[in-house]
Amino acid sequence: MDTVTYPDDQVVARLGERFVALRLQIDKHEPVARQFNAVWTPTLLVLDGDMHVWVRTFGWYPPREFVPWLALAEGKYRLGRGQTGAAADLFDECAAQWRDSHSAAEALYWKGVALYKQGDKDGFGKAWYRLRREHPESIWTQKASFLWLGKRPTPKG
Amino acid sequence: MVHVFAEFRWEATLDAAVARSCEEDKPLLLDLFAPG
Repeated sequence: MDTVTYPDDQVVARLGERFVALRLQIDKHEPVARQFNAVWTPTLLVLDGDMHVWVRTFGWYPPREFVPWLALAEGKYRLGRGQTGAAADLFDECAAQWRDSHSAAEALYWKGVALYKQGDKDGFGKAWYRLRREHPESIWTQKASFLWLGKRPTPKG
Repeated sequence: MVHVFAEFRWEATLDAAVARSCEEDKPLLLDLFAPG
């Protein structure tokens, strides 16, 4: 991450503007590594100021995938803090700007969730139908598919 | 067009990172990495 991904201009811009960032070497910070179950490196976590973990992933990201992942991760952080409007905007940015990235389909799924939590049932449906249209093979489309399979449970929220 | 990107700095400690995350309502990216 430190030789390719973090020096990338877009990564620098995204991290600098929207995140607080910290790197810890696991053998020098063993209690923290244990606390956050760092079973593989890099372990990347997105936390809030109360140390709640909103996102966790393992392994290296190339810059072209890391920038959209940061947008998706911030969206989950905002959603978890009840900032549904900001979350929906971030998910939409991820899905629209980096449509070919591996984060785009998941972002549309979560955009639907954020809109649902805002009481926007129409927007929720539109987001998930857009997910089906733009990413028909994605696992996130399968996870949303109850919407059009006639087995629609009431989303809890 | 010249793009001017924001300065980006790594925090030095977990306490400092947590404090800034609270203060600025920004998510904290924590990278736990292995040497080498």
